[in-house]
Amino acid sequence: MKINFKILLLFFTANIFIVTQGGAQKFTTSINTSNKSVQVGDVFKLTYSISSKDNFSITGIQRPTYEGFSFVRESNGESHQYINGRATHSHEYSIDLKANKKGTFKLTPATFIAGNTETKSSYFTVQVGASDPKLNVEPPKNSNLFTRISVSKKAAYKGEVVLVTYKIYSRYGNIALDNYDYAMIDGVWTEEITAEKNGWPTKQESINGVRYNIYTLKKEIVFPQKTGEIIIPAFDITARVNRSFFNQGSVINVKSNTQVLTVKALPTNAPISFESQVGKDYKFEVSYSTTELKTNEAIDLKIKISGKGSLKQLNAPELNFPTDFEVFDPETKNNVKISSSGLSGSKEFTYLIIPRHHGVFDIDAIEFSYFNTATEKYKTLTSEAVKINVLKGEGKDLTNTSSENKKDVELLSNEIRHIEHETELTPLNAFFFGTTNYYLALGSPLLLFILIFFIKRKTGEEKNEAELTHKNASKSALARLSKAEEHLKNNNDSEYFEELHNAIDGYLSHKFKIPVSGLNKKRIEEELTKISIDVTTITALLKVLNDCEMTRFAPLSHSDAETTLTTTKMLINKIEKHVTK
Amino acid sequence: MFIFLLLASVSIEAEISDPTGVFNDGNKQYEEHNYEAAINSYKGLCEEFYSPELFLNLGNSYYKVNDIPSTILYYEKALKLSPGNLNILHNLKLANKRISDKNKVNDSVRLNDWFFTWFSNTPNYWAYNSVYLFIIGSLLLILYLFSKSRKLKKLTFYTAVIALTLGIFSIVFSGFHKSRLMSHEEAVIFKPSIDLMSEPTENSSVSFVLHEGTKVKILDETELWYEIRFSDGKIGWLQQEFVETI
Repeated sequence: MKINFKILLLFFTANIFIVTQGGAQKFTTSINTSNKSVQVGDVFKLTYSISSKDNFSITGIQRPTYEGFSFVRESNGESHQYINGRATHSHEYSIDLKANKKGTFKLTPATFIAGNTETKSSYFTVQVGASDPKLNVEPPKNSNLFTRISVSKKAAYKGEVVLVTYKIYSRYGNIALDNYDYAMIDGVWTEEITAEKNGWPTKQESINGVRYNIYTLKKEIVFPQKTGEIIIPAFDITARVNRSFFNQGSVINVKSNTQVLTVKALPTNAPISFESQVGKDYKFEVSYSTTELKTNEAIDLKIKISGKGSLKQLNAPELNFPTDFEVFDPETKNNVKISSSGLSGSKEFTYLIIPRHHGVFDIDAIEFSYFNTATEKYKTLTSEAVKINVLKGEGKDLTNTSSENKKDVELLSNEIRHIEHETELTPLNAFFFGTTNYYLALGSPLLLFILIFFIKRKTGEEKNEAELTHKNASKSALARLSKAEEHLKNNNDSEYFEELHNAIDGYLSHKFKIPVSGLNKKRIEEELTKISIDVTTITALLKVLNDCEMTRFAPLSHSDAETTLTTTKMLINKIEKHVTK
Repeated sequence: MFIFLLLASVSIEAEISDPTGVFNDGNKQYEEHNYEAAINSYKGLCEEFYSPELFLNLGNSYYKVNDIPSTILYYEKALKLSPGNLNILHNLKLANKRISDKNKVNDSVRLNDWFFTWFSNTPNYWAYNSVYLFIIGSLLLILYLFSKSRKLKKLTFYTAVIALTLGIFSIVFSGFHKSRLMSHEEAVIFKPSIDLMSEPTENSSVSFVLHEGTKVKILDETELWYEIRFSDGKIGWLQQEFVETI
């Protein structure tokens, strides 16, 4: 480590002239660097100057590509000089870059558009050396003028306030600042402290027995937003010292030290209500304007949070009210002071809450958590839980969702419906339809019907015949009797008796469904008694039959024949009456 | 009498003696989050029995183990048995969100879906129904033959006509359902990414590409290939081994 990489060159010809022939105008560009020794973490200024004899204005700038550096800021300026009657108009474009890594980097040319001409600068090479801690920490002690960045603490929690002060230490009697330049600090949220009317007071202090005037240039409080190392880059001043009426004084460029903040992460066991507040002495006040009211009347809920810490970043706490309450966005009152000790004061949130439905509602306690830097622990402050009694107001209760912002019930879960528990399992490929059994089962009842139909028709025919003869028995008997009567009139006695006999036989045979051959006296007697015909009628009938048979051998008298006819008629009528009964 | 004997003989001799028990076992395994076991139970049952609930539960099990093509296959099978079933449609919709191809799913219930749902009983139900109706109709006709009074004759005749007409409808439903179940007009793709060819040969040109879980309609088939139509109307050929018919 003899020579360290200390300076590593970096001196760059500060003047590379390029003459661009563009249209009518001639431009000269040059590049200057503010810093002769660039090291990692340094911010340096590159100044592009474009000059021409004629007045011009720049209408467009294309930055060079700056790999290995990060962009800090840019600025523009112009100047007009007349020297010995010759005018020079020049524009300056400055870009502040921060060196991020060691190495040699070539910046591409920047392009400037002036009027209708485009001018390009040259390439610019920058060599960046490793940062040398020694160089930065202690400025030369005996120097008459040096600058310093001091921090209130070197290690802080993320979000904890750190005061950064930029100071000038000077032994000169008078000093005038020509120019000063602060670089931006990466990874912090900054809040500048405004000085009092006359600026920060000047102090005197002895360092190693040497007395210095201390001028505070700037004070700011920073809240680290990331963990790890945060570098506060050095700042540059250009000061003119010892200036008097006769003396222009001399210009001195001074570069300050850099500071490194070590940022610790907050413990992981943060309460749910913790959001961002890191500090101390917090107070949490919650007040309801009323806890008993009617529907559609308003409650003012005030939440006041006070303390010392990152109050500016404090957001309104989210309230967890039942859906029957309409909660409007809170009004915020800020009462935060910035001082050297950080931010202090209070923030007050006023919520307008309107119950839309009557009932008694339990409102959960409201919580607020912060990280206490004094005890290095989280602390949760809790309000009291509240019961709000909402009485029925005039008019109808409204649900929170008024008709215009009513939404469809959204399907919250993207989950499938549950399985079914009831089922009727059917055997696979066991189709009943189309099988022989099916057709048999389907056809047999019909076949049965058809079968019965035909059987019935056949038996019906036979039965009808017998029925018919039975019904017509008396009719045909009477027809025979009238035939017999005719025979009688013609004195044809033997034919008459024959016919009479047949008529009676036929009648009986039809009526009782007995074949004529089966007719004998005994059978006739039986059948007639069966249908309860009195004995005299039966004997009379049998006598007629007997007479008929007798006449075949011994003819009866004509008058006798006539009486047999009338008795037969009478007998048939008598039997007929009995049968139909 | 012999008709009833006949009907009794139709009940099937199955290898699984207690299918409802197996179904309940599957449900229990599903509820214990033992989805692999549930799949085994349901799957075994599927080889001999079917019901929309069985297919739905099997689909659910596959969904839980993230086998989306199988999930869709069984949901579609369930839907085929019970068209318009809202539970199945809901689950199918969720499963379809998980596949790559944007398949147009008709989640509105169509008129013929309602028709199917209404008559969604199994073909056997309708077959038995028709047989019973024919028996009733025939008995009524026989009664008609033997009845003496005019009133009774009228009554038996008209009820017989109604029973027989309903019987004929039942026959139609049974046949219709059977043919619907027997035909496999749709299929689900099981290959992660499949080229749809313009012709049923491997060296024809690729028409378009589909991904697993997508449902396609089968238009035609050769020995090894199906001609299919995707829901947006594109038509192509794919090998049968990469799809499962619904």
